[in-house]
Amino acid sequence: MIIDVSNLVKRYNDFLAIDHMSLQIKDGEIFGLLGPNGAGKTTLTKTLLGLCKYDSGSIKLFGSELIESEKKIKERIGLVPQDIAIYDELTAIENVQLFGKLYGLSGSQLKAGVKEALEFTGLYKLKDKSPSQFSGGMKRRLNIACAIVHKPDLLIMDEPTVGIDPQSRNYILESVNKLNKQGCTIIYISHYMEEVAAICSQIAIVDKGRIIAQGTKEELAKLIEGDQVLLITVQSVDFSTIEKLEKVPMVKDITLNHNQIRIISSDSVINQVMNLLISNDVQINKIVTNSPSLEDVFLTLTGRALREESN
Amino acid sequence: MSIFISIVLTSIKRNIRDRKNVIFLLLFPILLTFILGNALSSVDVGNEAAASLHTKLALVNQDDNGMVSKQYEQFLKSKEIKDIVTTRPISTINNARIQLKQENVDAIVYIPKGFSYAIENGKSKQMQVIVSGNTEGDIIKDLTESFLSRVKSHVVLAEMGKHVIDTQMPPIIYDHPLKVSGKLPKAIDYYAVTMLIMIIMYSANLGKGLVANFHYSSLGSRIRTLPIHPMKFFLGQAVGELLTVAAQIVILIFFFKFAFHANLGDHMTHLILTCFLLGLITILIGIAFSLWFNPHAADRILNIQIPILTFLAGGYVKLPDSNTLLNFLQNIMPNALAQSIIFQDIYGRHNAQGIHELINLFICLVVIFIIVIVGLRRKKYGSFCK
Ligand SMILES: Nc1ncnc2c1ncn2[C@@H]1O[C@H](COP(=O)(O)OP(=O)(O)OP(=O)(O)O)[C@@H](O)[C@H]1O
Ligand SMILES: [Mg+2]
Repeated sequence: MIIDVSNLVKRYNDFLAIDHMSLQIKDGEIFGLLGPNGAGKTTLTKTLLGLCKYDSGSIKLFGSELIESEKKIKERIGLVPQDIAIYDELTAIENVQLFGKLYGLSGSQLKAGVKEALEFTGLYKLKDKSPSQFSGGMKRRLNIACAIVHKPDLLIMDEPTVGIDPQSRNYILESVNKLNKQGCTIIYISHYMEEVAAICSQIAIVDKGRIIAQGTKEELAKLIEGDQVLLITVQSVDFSTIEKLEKVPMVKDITLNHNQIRIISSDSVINQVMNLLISNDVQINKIVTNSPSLEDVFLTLTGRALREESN
Repeated sequence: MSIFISIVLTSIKRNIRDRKNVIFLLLFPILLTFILGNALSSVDVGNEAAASLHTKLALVNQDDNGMVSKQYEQFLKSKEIKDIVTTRPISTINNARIQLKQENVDAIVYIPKGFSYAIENGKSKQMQVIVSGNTEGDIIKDLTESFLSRVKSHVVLAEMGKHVIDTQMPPIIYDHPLKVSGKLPKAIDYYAVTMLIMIIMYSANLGKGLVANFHYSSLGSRIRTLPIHPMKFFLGQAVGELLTVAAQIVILIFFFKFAFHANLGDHMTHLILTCFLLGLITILIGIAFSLWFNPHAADRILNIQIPILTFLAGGYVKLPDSNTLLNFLQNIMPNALAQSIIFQDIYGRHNAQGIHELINLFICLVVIFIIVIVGLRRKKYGSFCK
């Protein structure tokens, strides 16, 4: 067991950011932590690495508590922080070199690690450029390179692909897979269902400081097996109509996003829904039925969308 | 290369590469000193011009054997001055005025009765320079002013320590003969020192940035996840900042000395070491404030204290002497202490006084160091886990 968290509680003053969380992560896994904004994902990583105190519970990394052998444990971990943390005044390669040194590398080991990390993130050609000339995605990649230079046994990636174009994102996901194949255990934190579904061997869904479901992609999908998803695009709709829809039997969850109503139900409810909408003079433009995705699992479990859709 | 040295070098590299930082550290003080030094300067007399001129001075000295006036006479007799100024003693001011009207002399210097006595006792008394309005007259004005600024700086220095000039004080003029070329204005000598001091005070910002980066930035968090003791990292960066300031000081001093030809005295090592000491204290002040206050408050305090302390030390304009509160403050303000030590070094050392101020400066260092250590402990830099 690389990580063993039990009954962890972390408060910010009165606010309960982590609520009696227990979590085990096995060697060799790509462990996905999925949760909406403010779920407590970053707070969890901070407590894991000793960046902030926790109130109760216990954390074991590589079988021991952080305080017991902090230096040794930290040498085996790499963190890709959610906020980009690189030096703008240093070139890409100088950044990676510096962090390599700080992780305890030197000599040929350092040289090789730096080269590999830069190649891994596709930055080798840009190694002598300053990050201030980088695009957001390139900075993200450098942010990753600085965390893998010492070939950690455990890599924690806190939303590494935010603001990255799809191509770079795929590149990063492939890299994560490659790292994992080389024996690195990875905690992958994200809002993006597709990413997590694509690479993670275990997924935990976090909400309000708690893990509300955990398992493989398939296991999670089973949680709502037999459910149906109905997507209805309408001209316009008012809240009283939505409220009425919620009262339809077997409807589990309803969300309204712009003019699209999404209904998750345990059985087909098309007839009832149609009747209700028509009798309320709602103009229907389009109807689609789907089998549920991970996103829908999330919706039914938490009652809210993973990301607040912008615009 | 050890990790510690890497941290130090990285910190220096970052400081040097940040263009805004370099402008602030070097260009800004050079420009400011240039502007202040010139705006307040008197006529700029070129070397060649001075050599080809011959100035006739009527000296009306009624100060009977006063020390300052005797020094002034000596000053006029010094070789460099004698080459361009002929002095004619005249007993009364009225006679001198007649000579000036008839253009027999270019200028009159009138030293009234009791002048030296007044200066020695910290009172003000005017020494008059009356000129005909031609270039020759201006030279006399310039020379006399420069002489007086030396006397004045002695008086100011003495005042700071509540001493009065005594006869044991080595005569300034013999120690440091004035350069007659007078190519550069006297104001620049003063401002080269006070601006240097003020700029060093700004290194408090480096100390502040150190804490802010470490404590409130994403980089700081990242660094705390590394297998390195946070204190080691912090110290490495602090050393880097200190070396940056040291380099800045050396560059500025050389610039002031060789480009502005400012008179910075003959004890370069003293000057540089005093500045280093002040730089160290200032960085620690920046760290201390940032450790004890939130970043916003620290920022404000640090930005306000610099102009205030500079003003109180007489960095912008010379302040009136003989205010006990001011004297007290100047005895504990690191910038005023350093400034006074430097002026003494340039214009003749009064040993007991200088040592007293050096001790005060070291006390400042110790006090601020303790505040920093306690602040660091409070923020738990000493332990891995926060
Ligand atoms: N330093 C802090 N002081 C007080 N509250 C905090 C602090 N840091 C985080 N919180 C709160 O704790 C909760 C969890 O925050 P956290 O950053 O762990 O969320 P997250 O799951 O990483 O969200 P996101 O997906 O937006 O990154 C949030 O409600 C946040 O407001
Ligand atoms: Mg987060």
